[in-house]
Amino acid sequence: MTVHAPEKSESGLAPAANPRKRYSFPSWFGPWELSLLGLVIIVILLGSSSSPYFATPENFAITAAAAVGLSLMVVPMAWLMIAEEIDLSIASVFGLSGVVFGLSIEGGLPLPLAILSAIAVGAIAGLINGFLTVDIGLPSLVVTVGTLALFRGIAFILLESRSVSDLPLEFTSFAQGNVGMTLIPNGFVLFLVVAIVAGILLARGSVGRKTYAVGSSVAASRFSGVRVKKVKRGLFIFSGSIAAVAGVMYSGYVSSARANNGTGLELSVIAIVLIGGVSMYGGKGSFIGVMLSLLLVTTLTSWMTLGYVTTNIQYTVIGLLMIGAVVVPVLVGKVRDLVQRRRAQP
Amino acid sequence: MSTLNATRKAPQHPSSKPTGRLRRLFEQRETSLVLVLAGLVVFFSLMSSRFASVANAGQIVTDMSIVVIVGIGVAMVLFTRNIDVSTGSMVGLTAFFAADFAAKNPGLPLIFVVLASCLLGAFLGAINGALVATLKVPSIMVTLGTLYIFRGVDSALAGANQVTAQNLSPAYNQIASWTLFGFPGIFIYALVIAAIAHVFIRHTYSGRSMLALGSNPSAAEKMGIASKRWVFGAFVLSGVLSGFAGVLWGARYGTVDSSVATGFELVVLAAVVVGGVSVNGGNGTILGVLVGAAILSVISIGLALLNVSQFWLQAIQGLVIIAAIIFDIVIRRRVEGKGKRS
Repeated sequence: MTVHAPEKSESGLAPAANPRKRYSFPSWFGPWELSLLGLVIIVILLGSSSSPYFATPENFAITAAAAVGLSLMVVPMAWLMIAEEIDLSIASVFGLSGVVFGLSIEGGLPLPLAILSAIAVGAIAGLINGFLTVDIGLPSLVVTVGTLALFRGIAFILLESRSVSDLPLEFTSFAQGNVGMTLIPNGFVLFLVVAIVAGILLARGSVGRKTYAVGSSVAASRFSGVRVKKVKRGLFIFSGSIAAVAGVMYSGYVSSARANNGTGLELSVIAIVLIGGVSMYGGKGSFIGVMLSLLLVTTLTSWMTLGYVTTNIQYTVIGLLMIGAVVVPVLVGKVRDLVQRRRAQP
Repeated sequence: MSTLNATRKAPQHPSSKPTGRLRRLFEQRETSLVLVLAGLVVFFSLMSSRFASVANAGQIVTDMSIVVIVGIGVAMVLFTRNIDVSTGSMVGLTAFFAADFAAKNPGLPLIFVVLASCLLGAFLGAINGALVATLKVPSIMVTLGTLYIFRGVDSALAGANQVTAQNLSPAYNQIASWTLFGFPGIFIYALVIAAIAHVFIRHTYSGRSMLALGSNPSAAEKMGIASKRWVFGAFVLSGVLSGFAGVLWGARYGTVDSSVATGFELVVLAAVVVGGVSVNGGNGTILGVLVGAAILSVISIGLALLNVSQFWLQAIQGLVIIAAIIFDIVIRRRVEGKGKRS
C-alpha cells in the first residue's frame, strides 16, 4: 500500500494535519487534471467561436476517426511510462502490423486470420522489446530506438514502396464507418472500450497497482513480492499488440497498407502521455489525465486544421504544450516554496 | 575522491593490479568497436571490388562527417546524464537560416554566415540547457518539445520556399567540398572538432567535471562541481555543433527547405550509442563516436555497393544498433565481474 502510492497517503493525511485545507482532490482527479480540463474547455470555446464547423457532430466524427490510431497507442504508452519504461518503436510496430495485415490479405488469408496474424506480429515485436529491456537489462529508450529502425525496416523489406489497397470491403467499411446511423465512428468505440478497460484496470486492478509500484521503486516492489520482470514484459507485449490493432485499423481507415504508415507518430504519443501528467521517472500520473491530454491535443489539432494552420506549426504548439507541461509544475513548486518561506519568517 | 579519475569507466577495476597493456587494450570498448569496423571493411572489400577504393573511402568519410559533428555535441550531453533529441530540428533550422542568410547577402564573407549559424545554434542549445539545468526538468521532455518547436520555427521561416544551389554563391558549396591532398574538407572539420573535443573531455578540468557529473551527480556536486553550468554548457555545445552542421548540410546538399534533417536526431543518436556512449551518463569517448558513425556509414555504403535493396538498409541499421548495445552490456558486465572477483 505504501509502496505504490506514497503521494496518495500524503494527501489522505493532509486534511488532518492542516485544518485550513477543507478539500483535497481525489487521487484520480488532481489539479493537473483540472487544468487540462480547463484547457480543453477553453479550446472548445475558442474553436466554436472562431469556426462554425468546429462544434459540429461531423467535425467530431472526422476528428475522432482520424485520431483512432494515435488514441489507441496512447493507452499502452501511458502504462509503460508509469512503469518507468518507454516504447519508441510503437509507430514502427503500427506500420509493420499494417503491412503484415495487407500481405496476409493479399496472400488469401481470411479476414479474421489476417487481423490475428498482424496482432501476433505486434505482440512478438513487443516481446522482443520486453526481452531486450527486461531480460538483458538494457535501457528501453535505447532498445526501442534500435527496434524503431528494425521494425520499420522489416516493414519496408516486406512491402518495399508498394501499398496494398485491395483490402476486404467489409473491413474498410467497418474502419471508415460509424455505429449504426449515428456519427460515432466504429474505431472510436473500439478505442473507448480499450481505454475504459485499461483505465479501470490501472486505477483499480492489481495489475495497475503493480505497474505504479514498479514505476515508483523496482527494489521496493520486488521486496513486496511483485514480479517486476513479468509486469514489464507484459506491458511491452500489451504495447506491441495495441500498436498492431491501431495499425490494422489505420490501414482499413485509409484503405491502404503501406510500410511508412504512421512514421513519426511515436513522438506525438509520448507528448500526449507527458502532457497528461505522467512522469518520465515513473510511478506518477493518472489515466484520466492522459485521456484529457489526448482530448486536448486532438481538439486543438482539429481547431488548427480548420484554421488552415500547417502541420509543422501544429507540432510546434504541441511542443510548447509539452514544455509547458514540465515547466509549469516546477515553477508552481518554486512559487509555493517562496510563499511558504515568507510565511515561516514574518 | 577518485570520481574524477575513475569516471571514464563506471565499472572500475583495480588499477593497482598489474595488467598487460594488451589486455587493457582489449577491455576497452573502442578496441572491440574498431575490430567490428575492420571486420566490416574486410567483409565488404571481399564482397565488392568497388568497396576498397580511394573514391569510396572518400564517400564514406564524407557521409559520416555531419553525423560525427552533431554526434560529438550529443555525446557531451549524454556524458552529463542528459539527452538531446532536438538536433534534427536544430540542424534543419540553422541549415535554412544559414543558406537563406548567405543567399540574401551575397557580398558577406562566408565566415560571418558560419558564425551566425553557430550563434543561432548556441541560442537554441541555450534554450534547452536553461530549461534542463535551471528548472531540473527531464531533458528528454524538453528536447522532444523543442524538436517540435524548432521545426515549427523552421517551417514558419521557410514556408514553402527552398534555397537551391542557384541562389547560393559557388563559394558556399566550397565550404563543404574543398579537399586537402584528396582528403575531403568536411571530414577534416569533423576530425579537428573530434580532436578538440577529445582533449577537452580527457585532459581538461571542465571535461572531467562533465563526465564526473554524469557518472555520479550527487558526488560531483559534493566535490564542488557546478553541475548547472556544465549541463547548460553541454547543451550549448550541442547547439553550436548543430549550427555548424547546418551550414555544412546546405553546402553539401545544395538544396535546403523546411524539411531538411528531419529524423536526423535518431541517426545521430544511433551512431553515438553504437559508439559506446552510455545513455546513463559519465561513460564514453569521442573516438567511440567517430567509430560508431563510421560503422553505420560503412554499412549503408557497403550495402548499396552490394546492390542490396535500399529497403533493407533501415532494418540492418536497427539490428546493428541493437547488437551494439547488447555487446556493450556484455562487455561491461564482464569487466564488472572481474572487478568484483579481485
